[in-house]
Amino acid sequence: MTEPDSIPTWEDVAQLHGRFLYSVAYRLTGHHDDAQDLVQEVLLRVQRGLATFEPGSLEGWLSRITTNAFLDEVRRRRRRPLTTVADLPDALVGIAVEPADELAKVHLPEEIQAAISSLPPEFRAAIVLSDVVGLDYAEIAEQLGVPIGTVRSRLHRGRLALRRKLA
Amino acid sequence: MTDHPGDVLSAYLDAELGALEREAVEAHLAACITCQRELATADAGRGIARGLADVAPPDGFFAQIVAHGPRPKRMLDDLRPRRIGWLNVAAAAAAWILVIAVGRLESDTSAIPATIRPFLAAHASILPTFRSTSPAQTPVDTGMPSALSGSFTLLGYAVSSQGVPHAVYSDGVRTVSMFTERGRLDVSSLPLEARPIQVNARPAWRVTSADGDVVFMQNGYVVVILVAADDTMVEDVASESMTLFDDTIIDRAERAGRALLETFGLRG
Repeated sequence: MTEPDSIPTWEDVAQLHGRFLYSVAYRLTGHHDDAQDLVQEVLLRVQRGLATFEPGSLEGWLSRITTNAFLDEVRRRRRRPLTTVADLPDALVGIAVEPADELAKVHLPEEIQAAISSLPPEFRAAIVLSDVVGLDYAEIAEQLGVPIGTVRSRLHRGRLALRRKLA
Repeated sequence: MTDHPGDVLSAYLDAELGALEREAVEAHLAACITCQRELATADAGRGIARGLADVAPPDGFFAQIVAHGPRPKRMLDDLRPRRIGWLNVAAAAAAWILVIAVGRLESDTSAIPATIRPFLAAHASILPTFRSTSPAQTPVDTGMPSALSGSFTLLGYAVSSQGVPHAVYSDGVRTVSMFTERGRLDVSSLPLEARPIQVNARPAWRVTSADGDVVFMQNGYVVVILVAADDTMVEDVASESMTLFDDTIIDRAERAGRALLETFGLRG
C-alpha cells in the first residue's frame, strides 16, 4: 500500500487513487450511481478536512472514510420508519454442505456483487474491508468501531451467507 | 468433542488466531466433519470476495470532479419528494422482502386468494413463491403502494426465480405484478420490439411477451403485467404508478432492465 509523506489533497486522491476509491465504493453500495455519490462524498470530506489523516496506509485511510460515509448513509436511511435487517437469518447462514465441484462453480461478477449487496451493510463492510481492501482484523475493528469478536462474527457469517447465496 | 468453533473458523482461515486458539481449532477440525465443511464454505465465500476485480469508474468521472470539484452527494432519497416516501425504502425493502420470502414461504395455499391462484400457477416458473400480506406487513414496511388505479389491491409478494420480489395486485379479475428498480432505464438493453409509449407525457417502453406486458419507465420504475392486457389497462396502471414519482429522480442512473429482460426471456 502507498505510504504518503504528507496529507494528500482531494485532487491527489481523485487522480492517483480514484480507481481504488471507486472500487471500494462500488463493492459497498452495489450500484454505480450510488458509488459515484459515495466517491463525491469521500472527496468532499477530504477537501473539507473532515477526515483526519494519520501517517500510514493511504488506502487504509481512504477505505475508512469511504466505509464511514457509507455506514453514515445507511444509518440515516434507517432513521426512517422501515424494517431493517439487523442480522443474517439462520436460513441464509446455515452451514452449506456441498461437494467440492460445487465450490468451484463459476459465477458472473454481477452475480457475486448482487450476493454481496444482499448482505446487511455492516457485514458487507467487514467483507469489503477484509477481502477487497485487505485489512487485518484489528484494522477493521478500529475502522468500524467494533470489537474484534464482532469482526470475526460478521466476516464468518457474511462469507457463509455469500457462499450460500451463490450455491 | 469441544464446542464447535463457529465464527472463529474464518479467523483461523485468515491466520488471525494466536497459537493456542489455532491449535484448539485444528484439534477440533481433525475430528469434526461438520466444521471441516463449514470451514470449506467460509473459504469458498472468502475466495469469491477476493476474486473480484477492480471496478472502473465511468469514463471521465474523476476528470470532471477534478475540473469542477466534488459535489455534495445526491443520494437517491435526498432527491425524493416526501409524498413518495414509500419509494425511498424500495431497495432496502427489496432485500427484506426476499429474506422473508426465503425464510417464511407460504405453505398454506388456502391463504392465497382464489382469484390469483391461476395467475400464480401459470407463472410458476417465473414467480415460484408467493406470500400474502399480513396486517403487520404494511405498505410502509415493504415500500410498495397498497393500491393501484384505485381498484387494484396489494395481495402479497411473489418472488421471482431470480429472487426479485414482485408486488402482486388484483382487482378481483385481473392481476398485475410489479416491482421497483432504482435509477434510470438503460434503453440500449431493451429488445428491438420494445414500443415507445407515452405515460403522463413522459417516455416509456412497452414490450409484449408470452408472459404478458412489461412497461419500462425512464425513472427507474418497472411495471410488469403478467396477463394479457389491453392498452387502456396498461397505460392506466402505468399512469397511476407514474404519479407517485417526481421529476427530480428521472435522471438517476440505473441498471434496471437487464435482469428483468432475462427473467422474461426478452433479451434483444
